[in-house]
Amino acid sequence: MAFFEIENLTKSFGAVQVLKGVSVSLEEGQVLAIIGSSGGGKTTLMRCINFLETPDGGTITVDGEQVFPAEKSNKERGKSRLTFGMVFQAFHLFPQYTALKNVTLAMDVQSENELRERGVKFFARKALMKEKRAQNEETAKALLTRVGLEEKMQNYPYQLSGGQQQRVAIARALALSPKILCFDEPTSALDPELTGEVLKVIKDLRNEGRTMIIVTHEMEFARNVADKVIFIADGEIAEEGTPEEVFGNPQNEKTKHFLAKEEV
Amino acid sequence: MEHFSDIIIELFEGFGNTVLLFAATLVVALPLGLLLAFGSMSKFKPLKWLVNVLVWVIRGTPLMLQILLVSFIPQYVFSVPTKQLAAALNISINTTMFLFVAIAFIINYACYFSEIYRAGIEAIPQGQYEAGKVLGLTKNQVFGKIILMQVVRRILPPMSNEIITLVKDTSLAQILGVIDLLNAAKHAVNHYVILSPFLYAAIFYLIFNGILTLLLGWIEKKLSFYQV
Repeated sequence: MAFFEIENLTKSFGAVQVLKGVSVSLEEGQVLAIIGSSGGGKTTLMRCINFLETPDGGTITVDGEQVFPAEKSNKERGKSRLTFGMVFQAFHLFPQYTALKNVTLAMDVQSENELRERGVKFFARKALMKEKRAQNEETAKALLTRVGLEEKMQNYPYQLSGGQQQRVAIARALALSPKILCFDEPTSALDPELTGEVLKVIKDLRNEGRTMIIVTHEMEFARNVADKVIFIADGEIAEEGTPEEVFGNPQNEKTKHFLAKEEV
Repeated sequence: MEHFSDIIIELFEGFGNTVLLFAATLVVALPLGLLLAFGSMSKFKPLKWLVNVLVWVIRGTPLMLQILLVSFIPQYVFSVPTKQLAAALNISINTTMFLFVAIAFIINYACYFSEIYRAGIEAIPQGQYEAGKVLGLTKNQVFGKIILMQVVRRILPPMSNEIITLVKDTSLAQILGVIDLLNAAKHAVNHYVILSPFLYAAIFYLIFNGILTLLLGWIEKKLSFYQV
């Protein structure tokens, strides 16, 4: 069984079936690029993977553990979210927190949850959190340095450019060391001259061997960075293969038409 | 100016009740309004409907009517005269009247606050909730650590408006004979047959609202360290 496996995933909104049974698998350390025209279902697929939408049917398995449908309590379900990290098209940074706090927030919450689960009482917990916070801050600083923002840690999101904000969002998603990092059109909200810095970070992550799933409109980027490309049209995988296969020698008419339009 | 100090002392006594009513209303109505706001956004339809009707009725009728209604309910609905109620609670008639007024104020202002909260909460982009969710935060953690402060910042200007209005609305307490600032001034005007107590009362209100305006402005400034 592959590291990441989706089996026959379906999702409808009212009478509209957006995903008509999608199956895809990915090995650890590989990058999956999801391409396709708007309204084809790629964002819905990504949202289903991240539990932002509940699929109607199908299974999702990561590292041998079925995460959907998971016969678990809500609390553990919250935990299984950390299987995935998510970077949004519109960043969604928390405006009232500095870049650093944006990254540490979830780590601090996680640390406190762990202490609570171990039965540490309120005051003891607050005392221990001081130390944990300092540790988390170090981790966050390292992550922000890695995405090239060591100078901007104390800045608020509104003080950062779109590209910088998206890099903070990537650091934030990395903070909980997710098994799989997901990107939903990470450069679509950016000015063209700012996409490069974000794409470079994603490339670096790939070279470090991170397992990633990327919904993208950047065909050139998908071609360069992905190990596997799927083309989604009308809620189904119309084409699947290596970048060479999908871009170089598409079999499906829809794929050919789409790629011709994108002028790759 | 011969009765100046007497008048001022009387006004201060009234002012005490005004401040007490103001503070009691704020302390209870602010959290209660948030609960009502959650109710009005509830997915449980009957609750949502109930809260919406309550807010519609309370905002659609005069506060003075509501004060009168609250004061009449013990006697007319439960056949418990106010005197008996006061005795049972072991408080004076005056305190009982003050309680009636406070209850009406709290319900009235909680409804107004709930609408402000609701508008503030609904103005927060869905992406903020989703970003919290994918980081493994529970619903409560998302609200407490991410949403709440953004809501507070957004609603502070309309809240300030309501709070300033509340200061002036407290003068309605005199309908049940509560000696608030304006009622005390009225007594003084009648008693000494001079108009100046009204002027002094106006100055009391202006100073109180002036301090509040400065305080709320300061909080607003404190919360403006970030932009959206």
